[in-house]
Amino acid sequence: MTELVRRAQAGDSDAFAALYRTHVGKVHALCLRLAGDTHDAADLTQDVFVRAWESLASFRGESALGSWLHRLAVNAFLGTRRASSRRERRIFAVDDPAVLERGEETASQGLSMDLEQAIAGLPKGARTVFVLHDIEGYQHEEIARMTGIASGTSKAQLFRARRLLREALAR
Amino acid sequence: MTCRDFEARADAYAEGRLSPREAAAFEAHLDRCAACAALLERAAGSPPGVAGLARSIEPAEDLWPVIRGRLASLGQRPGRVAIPRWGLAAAALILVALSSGVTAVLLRPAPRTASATLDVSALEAQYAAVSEDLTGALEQARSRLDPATLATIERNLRIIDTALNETRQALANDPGNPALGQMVVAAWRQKVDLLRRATALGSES
Amino acid sequence: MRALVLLAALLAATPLPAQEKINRRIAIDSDASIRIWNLAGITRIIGWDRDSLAVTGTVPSGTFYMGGAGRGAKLGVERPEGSKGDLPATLEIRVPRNARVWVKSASASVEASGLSGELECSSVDGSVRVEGSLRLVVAESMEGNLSVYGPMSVVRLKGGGGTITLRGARGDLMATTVGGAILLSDAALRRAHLETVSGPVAYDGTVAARGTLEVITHSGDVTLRLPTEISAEFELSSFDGAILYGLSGKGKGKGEPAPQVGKPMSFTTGGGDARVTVRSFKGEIRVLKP
Repeated sequence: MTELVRRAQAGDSDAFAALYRTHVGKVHALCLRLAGDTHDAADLTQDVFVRAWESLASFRGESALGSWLHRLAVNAFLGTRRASSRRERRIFAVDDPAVLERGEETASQGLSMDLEQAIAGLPKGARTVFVLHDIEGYQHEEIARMTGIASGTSKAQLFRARRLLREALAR
Repeated sequence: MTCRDFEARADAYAEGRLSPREAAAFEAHLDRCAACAALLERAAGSPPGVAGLARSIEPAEDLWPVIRGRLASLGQRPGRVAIPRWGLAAAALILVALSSGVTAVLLRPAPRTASATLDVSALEAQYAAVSEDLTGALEQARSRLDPATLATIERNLRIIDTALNETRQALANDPGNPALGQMVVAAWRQKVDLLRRATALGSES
Repeated sequence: MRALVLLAALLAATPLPAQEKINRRIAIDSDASIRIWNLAGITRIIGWDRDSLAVTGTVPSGTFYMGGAGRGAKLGVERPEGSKGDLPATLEIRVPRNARVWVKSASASVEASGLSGELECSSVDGSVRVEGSLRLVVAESMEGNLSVYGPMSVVRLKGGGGTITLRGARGDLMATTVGGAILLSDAALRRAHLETVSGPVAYDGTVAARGTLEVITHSGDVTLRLPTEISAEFELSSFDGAILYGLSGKGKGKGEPAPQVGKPMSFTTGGGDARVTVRSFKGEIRVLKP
């Protein structure tokens, strides 16, 4: 465990700020790809570092701090998904009975796009599995444990994500 | 589902054209059949460019001021080394753990279920314990506080206690009401926050 | 003669505190951390475009201290020896605009202007008034008023009995009071969380696209004055208070729910871009046009 982490655990805000500066890029990249939305990614990144401050005392140094933060980010994202009834719960719309599902932006047709945009355009379930498996390197069994889906579902979602990405990139 | 059926449905699954029941059957088959899983793996490898994706993407704007503000509002200012005082250290830790979860409880439109009631009871028990610890610490600090300050603290506590009693009574009459549960939690949080601020003033005097 | 002797004896027994004028200056970095301790009187902080810290004012004799350089400095007024209370001091402190300022007060009023860095202020019953465009404002007063004017990025305010007032608020705000009111005008916040126990809440302005406005109160009345064309998801609930909705000003009509008590109201205007949530136990909730 580094001296910086030890100082942050003791309540040193400058040390924690330094840890933030070191790790925010990687944490934010993960949050951005999981959330598929810059606004949500910024909120999620904040949540990760607030949680990190709260639970830093429990970090024992068995893994690298970056890996620990990544785990926090995945849990934070999955937590927002489970408690996302604010967006997915249907409330009656006064002016328009159709419901807008924010965050489910689909890839615009007829335009070629780069890989990041294509990933952001994936359906949520497929995007989560793709980011965790192909980018972050988690195995299906781990993804299944973390997300509460079956291992088979994880494999199917990955297949779906890869197919959709290839199609999107081929346009 | 047979392997032949599975293979026939792979494209439809990828394009989201299967019904929920068919999709569930498709996914369940993968749990049992290694051959079909290997087939999917071969059919769609990771798209080119994934290995080259940036591992680090800085946020468009500096998030540190917001994070620092949130940590400050948790009542545990970064940089303040926790000095153990009787009852305060444990109370402060619980308060920090509670604060981040409470906002989610307060603003989550929980369904009217028994588990929602249990959540509130569990939170109430924790808040009551923290409140007792902080009240004890405040008693010890009483003599160090300015009488006018003490009067202000007690006046605010009375307002909060009235609110807490009213919402708890309403919840007791309507236990399944999640909105009432959320109001009870809000009142407890206000009480514990005020006690924390008051004991901090007492320790500074 | 006897009266004079008595007067002299009285004066000897209760000496008046001597005051001294101060005028000090030190060089510091443009983003230095500055800690200010002045418990009674007035503390004025003014941002300027120089890399130095300059203090003028009047303090009880022998109580002023100041030190530091470069990245950090501190200054303040100590309690005079043998004194039971804090004697008032008036301090006018010029700091680099981008400095990070921490202020401690008990009854002293704190005024800050021209800053763009960070300000954190803790008071017991002194008022705090901040004007400018800071990255971060954190202020706490058990009884004093807290006033923030201008577009700050992040604001965290904790009151008690005093009033919290904001004008031109943007960015991210969390404000809580017990009995004090929370009043916002010309607001267009990205994220706002307002909480009182019995204090009223008045929000005059709009909510940024994709922003959130959350209000929680036990018995305070809540009045939101929002643009008629606002695009938002609304969730309004008051257990024992009335909810009145009159955004269009046309009264009950297409898409405008009727006033009701005890029943939560959920509805969407426009595309539902922003989120407005108000929860009250027995306070009245009014959503009106400007």
